[in-house]
Amino acid sequence: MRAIDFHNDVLPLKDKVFRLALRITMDRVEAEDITQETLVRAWERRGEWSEIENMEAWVLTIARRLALDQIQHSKMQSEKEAQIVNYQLSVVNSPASPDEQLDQRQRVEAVRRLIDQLPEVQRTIIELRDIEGLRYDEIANITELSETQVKVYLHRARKKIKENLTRS
Amino acid sequence: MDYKYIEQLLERYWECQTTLEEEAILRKFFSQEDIPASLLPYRDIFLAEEDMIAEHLSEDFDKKLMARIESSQETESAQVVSISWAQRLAPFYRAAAVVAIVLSIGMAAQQGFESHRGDAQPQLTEVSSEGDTLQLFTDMPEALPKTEAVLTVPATDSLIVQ
Repeated sequence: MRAIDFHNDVLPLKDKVFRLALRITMDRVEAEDITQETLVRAWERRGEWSEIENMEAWVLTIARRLALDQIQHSKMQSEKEAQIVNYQLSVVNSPASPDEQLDQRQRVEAVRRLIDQLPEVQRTIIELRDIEGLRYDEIANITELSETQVKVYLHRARKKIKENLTRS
Repeated sequence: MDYKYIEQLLERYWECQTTLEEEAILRKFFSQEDIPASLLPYRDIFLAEEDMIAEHLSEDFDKKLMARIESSQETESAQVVSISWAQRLAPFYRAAAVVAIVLSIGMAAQQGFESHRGDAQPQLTEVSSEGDTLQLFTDMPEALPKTEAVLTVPATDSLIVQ
């Protein structure tokens, strides 16, 4: 088996780590800090690399735990969620006359905000499956859920997005 | 064009029954311009996800990360050097300890001897040169083992033992 190298095997995961952290914290600065912390921790635990079967899932698991700790300790979190929800309601549910149809760019932005509005576990699963293209077993591993639970959460998330798309 | 296959895939997509490969087909389909009106509302989710894939870290991220990793490596190296120095000095510590023990024992022994000698000073005896056999320390203290020092001296002048 080829030896794992930080620059070739760990560092290239940085953007995936960043996007997962961003999806959980919904804050670019916090997500970047979490990404750095995740990769430093992965480096510090390099003695374990030879035993790791799936480096991507391992690194993303570290990232998710750090991101969850971050939002639990962030006193501003509830206020931020409230701001996002309020903004979301004002954009997506505002009655639009034919003349005020949102153009495609705005509609895409509205979907992104809708995803941001989902509960954390649903946002995380959408991120890992639909953005990063991970298998269900990998997502179950990272989120510490069963594959069935992962599919249930993903189904709820997609259903909510679908309802909003067909309604707007 | 028949979009039935796409519609079927989409139905399975909402139910989380599609494979990663089938989801890639949907993503590719919705990335093109020519989408029938019936499927158009669903395009936004795939376009939104395409946007999200494009989210990246700032450009100086690698520089900051590597600086942090290098500083943590330097800390680790410094720890190794300090251990090495301690190991190098160990023989000197051991030698110093041996010297200290020897000196302590020596001092303790000397102190014990001095204290015994202080109890009673043996009397020096002037002996005559007349006899062949002389007895010294005629007033030997009790604390010391009673020993008779026997000297054989030649019959010469008088001898003072100091």
